[in-house]
Amino acid sequence: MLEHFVFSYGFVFVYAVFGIAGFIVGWVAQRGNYCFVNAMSAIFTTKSYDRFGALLILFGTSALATGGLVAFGFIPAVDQYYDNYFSGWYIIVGALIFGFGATMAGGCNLSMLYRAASGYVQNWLELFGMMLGTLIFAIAIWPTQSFTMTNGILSTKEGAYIEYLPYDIFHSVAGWSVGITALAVGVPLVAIGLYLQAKTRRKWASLGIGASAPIVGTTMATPAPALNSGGLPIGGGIPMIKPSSFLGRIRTTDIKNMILLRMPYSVNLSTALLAIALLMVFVSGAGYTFNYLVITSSDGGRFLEYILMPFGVNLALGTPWYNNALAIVDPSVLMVIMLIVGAFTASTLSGDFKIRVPHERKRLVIGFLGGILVGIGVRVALGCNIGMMWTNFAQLGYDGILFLVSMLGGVWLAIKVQQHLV
Amino acid sequence: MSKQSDQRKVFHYRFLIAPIVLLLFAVGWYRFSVVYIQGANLQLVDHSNYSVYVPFQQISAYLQAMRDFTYVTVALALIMFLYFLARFIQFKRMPSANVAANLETSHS
Amino acid sequence: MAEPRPEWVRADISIDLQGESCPIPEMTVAKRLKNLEPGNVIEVLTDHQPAADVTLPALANGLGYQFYAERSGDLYRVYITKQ
Repeated sequence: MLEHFVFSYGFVFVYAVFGIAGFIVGWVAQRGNYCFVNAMSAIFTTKSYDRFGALLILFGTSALATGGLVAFGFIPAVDQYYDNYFSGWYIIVGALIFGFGATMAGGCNLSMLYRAASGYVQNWLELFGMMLGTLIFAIAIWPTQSFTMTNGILSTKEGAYIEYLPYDIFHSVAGWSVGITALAVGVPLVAIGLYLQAKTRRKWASLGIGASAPIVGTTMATPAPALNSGGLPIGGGIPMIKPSSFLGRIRTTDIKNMILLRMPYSVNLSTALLAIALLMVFVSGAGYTFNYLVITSSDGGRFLEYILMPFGVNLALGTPWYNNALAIVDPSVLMVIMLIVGAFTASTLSGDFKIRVPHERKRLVIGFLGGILVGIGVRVALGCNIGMMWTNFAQLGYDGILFLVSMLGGVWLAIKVQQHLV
Repeated sequence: MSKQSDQRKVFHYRFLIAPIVLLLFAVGWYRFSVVYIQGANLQLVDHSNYSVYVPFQQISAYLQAMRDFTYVTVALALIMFLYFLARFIQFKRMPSANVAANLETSHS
Repeated sequence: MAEPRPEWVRADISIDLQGESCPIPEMTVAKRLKNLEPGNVIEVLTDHQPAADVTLPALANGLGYQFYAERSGDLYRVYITKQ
């Protein structure tokens, strides 16, 4: 990082904000059932673009927010682009492997963590698989990949402003160029996202769904179930309270039910809260550290380092990649730990926590193997759906779109394979 | 069907255990950070690997922030434990199975 | 607010998918829905909240089928029918 601090509050504050942001991300992801893989797989399995639209809104909002802060001079441009990734063959190949592996394993890096924290054994195995995949990448792939990066073989030779769209387009990192680029990137993404959501819901409405079928996006104005003297519902299961959508009204009772953890968060509410978490780290970390949300460096890379430490093994001493590409600890470690705490707390308080083992034991094997592919894929791609794809939109780079398209391809392939296994 | 009725009549002890696990995780992670992460970082200095070494100022900031989060997480875990303990005691005191079942189905 | 149980809710076909997570529930149910006779009701038992909250409703909505879900503790019962 550059030796300038945008704000002079010190590293403790930075680590604290990252931790709080991590707690928010874990909590919101658990409450909102937020999964990037699910959002993409739904396109192919249920022909729903609702959650994919939410992802595009997230990316577009992030680009507008971070770009706006830079354009108006609150954050220097260098803190937006300094850690921009190299671009090359590895983004496409890595994202494809990641999308395939994550779909087979049962979750992207965000959902893997919050579901693991909610008791899903398959996702624990995905996590261990990812650690092993990271090690495999470090030993077998990284030396060759770094050679291609250093020598510009199907790769740029550096990141930073080289990958920064305002510089690429306008050859300037002044506020006006950043602002125009942020608008050019963010507005279409948000518009397409809203369009996809509206299109999906119009399609549902046109199919003539009856009033007795609760649909995500509508709320039911019906009496509450009868209660006993203790104020608890009598008999049977409790009908699910469906979350209302951003496009529909969010009623006072919805807000109350969300606060009391009776009702999941709607997808667009979750999107808004996640964007806020990104902004927290973007602002607080500016000048101090990689000021974006990063997950897999910690859970895929560092956690394996940490597990081996009590056995006297320090991967950072001699193992490729671990010894030159991954700091032993940084604010993202605290962010990921608090993400796990946030998700665990949300799942416990909402009653969702349970040790879940698939009936078919082969799912555990598939989860582990998928996790290995996730570990390899995210490291080849220089990051995951959070740390590369989402982050890169906020960085006003172009690797995010490469990652998005490739990841979609990997998800599609995995769906085809899963259809034969189901 | 019997699986549902089994669920209705049993208080899931995992909701008492979960806060304890959270508390132990928070404390355990902090102690691990103090002992092993600091130790590994010093090892990097001894081996002159400064590319992945973290300066003292940053690692002590990490430990300080982690300690504070540990306090908060432990407090949160204790509050959660007491809340579920209260629900458990209420469940045990309910005379009729039907009302106990309702407590179980509603409680989360 | 939650709605009361509709009259069509019953279990002509019951699928137990407890322990399974995305995308298995929606893919399994989609397969079974292909052969569902009009008027018959599929009951899905799942403990995977996203399935009950996100993917199965989306599946039903996309096909134009009726959908209802209720929860008992950590078990979700999802009912889908083709009227």
